[in-house]
Amino acid sequence: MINARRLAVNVGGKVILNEVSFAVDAGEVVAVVGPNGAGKSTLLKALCGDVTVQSGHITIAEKPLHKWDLKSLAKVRAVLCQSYDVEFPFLVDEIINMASFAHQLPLEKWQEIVNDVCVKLDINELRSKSFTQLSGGEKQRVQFARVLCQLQPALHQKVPCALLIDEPTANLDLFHQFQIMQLAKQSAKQGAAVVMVVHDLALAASFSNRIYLLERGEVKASGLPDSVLNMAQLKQTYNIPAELSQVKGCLPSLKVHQHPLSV
Amino acid sequence: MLAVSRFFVFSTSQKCLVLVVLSLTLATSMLVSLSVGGVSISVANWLAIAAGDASVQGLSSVLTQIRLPRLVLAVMVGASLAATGAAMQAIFRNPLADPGLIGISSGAALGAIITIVLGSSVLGSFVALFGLYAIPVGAFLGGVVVCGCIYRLTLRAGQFNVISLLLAGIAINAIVGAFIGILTITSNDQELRDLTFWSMGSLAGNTFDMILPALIVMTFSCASLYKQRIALNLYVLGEQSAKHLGVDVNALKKRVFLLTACAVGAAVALCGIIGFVGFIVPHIVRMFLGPDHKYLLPASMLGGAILMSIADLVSRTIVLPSELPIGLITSALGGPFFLWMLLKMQSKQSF
Repeated sequence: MINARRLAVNVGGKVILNEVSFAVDAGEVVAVVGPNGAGKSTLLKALCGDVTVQSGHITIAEKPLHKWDLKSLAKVRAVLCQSYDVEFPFLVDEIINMASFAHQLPLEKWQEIVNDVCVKLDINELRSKSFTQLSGGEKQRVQFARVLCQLQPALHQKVPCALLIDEPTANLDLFHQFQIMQLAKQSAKQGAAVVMVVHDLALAASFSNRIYLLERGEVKASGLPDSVLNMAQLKQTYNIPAELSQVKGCLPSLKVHQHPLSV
Repeated sequence: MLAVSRFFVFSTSQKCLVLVVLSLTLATSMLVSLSVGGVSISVANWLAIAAGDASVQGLSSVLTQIRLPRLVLAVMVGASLAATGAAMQAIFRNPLADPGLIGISSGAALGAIITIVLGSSVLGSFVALFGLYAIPVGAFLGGVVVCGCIYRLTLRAGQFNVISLLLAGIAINAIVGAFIGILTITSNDQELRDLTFWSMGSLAGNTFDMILPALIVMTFSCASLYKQRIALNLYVLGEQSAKHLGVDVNALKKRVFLLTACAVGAAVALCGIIGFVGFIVPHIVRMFLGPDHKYLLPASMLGGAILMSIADLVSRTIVLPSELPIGLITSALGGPFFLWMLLKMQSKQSF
């Protein structure tokens, strides 16, 4: 669905991404992980066309990114950015309904989509509230609902589509972290290509099909979670002796060995 | 958090009702404004004028040649300033924004003042060419030049950036202030009187011939801004998010900016700098109707028109037989309101 070849991004002479190639297919969840400043968010922005790419090229559904017009793109691609503050007191409902901009859907059909998504994210009781009065986590869930609504028409029509989310679980409690991951995974099962930037390696391993590990603007490893998040790699990238641990009947978790620095 | 809280949450039909009430209020205030003044027009007089009675011809010409053009201008200027204020606030994603802020108003003022002071000497041929319209055209050009400058400055920085736009506006306001000061010092007595009165904002002395081009420009700008209502809503989510939802944000910004330049240029050209209307009105409307531009824009236009028609009535009648520049009234109301808003935000930010 999204293909990027040998991307290079420099900002003010500093190399942010260097020869990064990336691919995500319909139906899979790909997680992008890495330490702070590794270029994860920049990679996501590059895939969205939000930063100037010095070299390399990106295609979405086989078509070069720059040839897409914004409205057609908005029909098949939804993005959740890290910043989601709104300065004016829109109601939650109004915010979510903004997702219908690119779609030409009858009102009832759209309302059905919104109702459905709001039930899934259990934000029904927030819908008549003012967005500016919500807590950080609530705001994030509402923005995720908006993004999910934007993608629903494409999912229903079985059109190839993509969901790109940047740290969707940053402000959330454990339950809502799982809830959002579950919904991202479900979108992939319905046919979307899902790309997510996450910090939590255990969550990444639990909900993604493949992982890209970025460090200082380069892809250090990519592939199945088990093969990427191994002891040697994590020691090298994060300087933490850790590995994935798989207990039968449980989601993968991160087993951290006693750190040499700890007392 | 800069957001203003909402007092009410209205349903769609209630919002429409508010628009109807505002329209009726505007009609009433216009009628009152036409009737009251140095000579007042009673109901009987109205009927006589409507019937074409020759005995009230004097009143009739006061009405159609003095009060009506002035009122129509006040209403359109109020609507334009409020609509552009609302649009600028969306583009800046900051409820304190105002067309005056980015230097358009003062740029237009500079254009007009240059025409007033230099019209008899250096710019003689310019004045001869445009005749009656020389000062308005000068003001309009001033506004457009400032817009062009600010726009170019912000493009230099790469992406069209709101902060650099604001800073450029501050710089241009300062430059324009300096030029106006220099011209004030070098002007003679008559020029000084014209200049001072004009720079405080006044609706006086405009005929239909004179205001017609500006009315067309302002009407067009207001209508075009209303067409951007949904895109403006999405823009409030943030530039990236709006883009991801399918809004061509760069085109939107250019369009809103240009329309604002046109509307504010035309308004300042005819009545000088009338501050704070573009700030106060959208604010109050937002408290009642919420930030949805589908209602915010038309309600702001109506509110701006009401505010200006009442302010004009006060400016005409409060110190009869003289009159107070209307810009003083709006600033006297707007300044304290602005400070109150700032204090409210400060106290909100502190916890």
